[in-house]
Amino acid sequence: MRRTVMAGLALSLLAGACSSDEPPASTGPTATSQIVAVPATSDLFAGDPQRVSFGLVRNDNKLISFGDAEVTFSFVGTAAEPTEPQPGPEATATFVPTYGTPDRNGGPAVTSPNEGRGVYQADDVTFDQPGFWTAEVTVVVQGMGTQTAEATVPVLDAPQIPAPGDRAKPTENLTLDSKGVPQGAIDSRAATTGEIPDPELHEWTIARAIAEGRPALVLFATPVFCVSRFCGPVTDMVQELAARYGDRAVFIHVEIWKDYQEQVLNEAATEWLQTPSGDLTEPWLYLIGDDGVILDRWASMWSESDVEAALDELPRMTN
Amino acid sequence: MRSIGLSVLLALATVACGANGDDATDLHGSVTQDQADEAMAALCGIAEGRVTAFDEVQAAFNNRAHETLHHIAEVAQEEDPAAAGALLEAKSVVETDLEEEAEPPAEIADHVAILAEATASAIRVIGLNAGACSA
Repeated sequence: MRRTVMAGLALSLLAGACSSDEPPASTGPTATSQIVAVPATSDLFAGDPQRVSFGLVRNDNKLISFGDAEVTFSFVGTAAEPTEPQPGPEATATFVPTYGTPDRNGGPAVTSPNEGRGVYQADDVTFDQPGFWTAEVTVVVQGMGTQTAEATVPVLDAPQIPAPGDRAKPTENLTLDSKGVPQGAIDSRAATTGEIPDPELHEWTIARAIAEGRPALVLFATPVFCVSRFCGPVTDMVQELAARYGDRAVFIHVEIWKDYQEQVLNEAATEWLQTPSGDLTEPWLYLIGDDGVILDRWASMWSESDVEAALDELPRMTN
Repeated sequence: MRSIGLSVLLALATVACGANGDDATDLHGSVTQDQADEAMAALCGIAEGRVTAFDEVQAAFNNRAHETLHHIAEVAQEEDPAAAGALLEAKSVVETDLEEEAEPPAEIADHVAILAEATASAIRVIGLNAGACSA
């Protein structure tokens, strides 16, 4: 099975490659701004509150990091019926640093990747109808002043991959007990280190967790073969959460690739993440309740404290 | 609306990259020759032992090479998954080295040299020029 795998923040990589002095045509900085806003969230849909994230980058590949940004959304119609912008939700987007990278107090600043990198995340954004929505992202950057960039995101009428409220798919993902598969298909890091660095994340199948009525935090990611910069850090985050919250849920890491060289995806990944068009985005993190219903999901990059809060709400498991 | 694929997002982001500008014709996927050269220069500086202080190694890798390596791999994957895979595997080894708290392992220059070689191969796969490090 040969498919296109994308990462939400691959978008930021594309934007990071911008080197034109010309302003972008429909997504990017406004006439007076020097930054580009890049959507970092996929599978947005109408009707339910969701997290919406943006990376903010400059044309010189520097990043905007830390502090908050203000986001104003406007509905601009559909491909078939574009409209004049209609006011939509407004939100404050808070900087979420890549796990393991520096965070700091104070307002937004220009950083090199070594100094800070992450996304600005707005919570509980509800789009009232499907179509294209333009986000105007305004941020006051130290040394640059007020900067505003626009980005347009598609909002679907329904999610294309499992979403909160759906029943979790009882998937038989690969585990340490799986026979006849290379370790790299269980965790891509085994291909480089010779061992699976987080065996505790590869003990359970999603199917077994559901069958036993255990909550599960399930990470779909390929730490080695990720095309964004976030799969490795989020895998480290989940491993660390597993050490602290092992009494609240079982923790599962599903590797995306069965064989990267041959471009074969793991069935568990396609079962959950492949869209009808054949594309697959990663990483994704899912929290499944003890009743087998999806409680929450996070795309691309997420805040550890967000996940901690969700895990804290789960009752302690008795065995 | 279900038929609107996520590729729309990518298309929009591509628009952000100056598709109406001259640069569009210089891009190999999303990688320019200047970016490839910069990444190779950063890697070679480490591989050849000219950059040795841990903070300088981290800065060279993270600020000058890391993101471009992702670009290169993403584009190369379409043409030659083995070349892209070799780059990403070598990158992963270096990233593990850089996760050390105090100092990177002694082998980091060798690991970066392997990464530089894989990167040069992948750069050539995507139609850009890349030489070898001198060490």
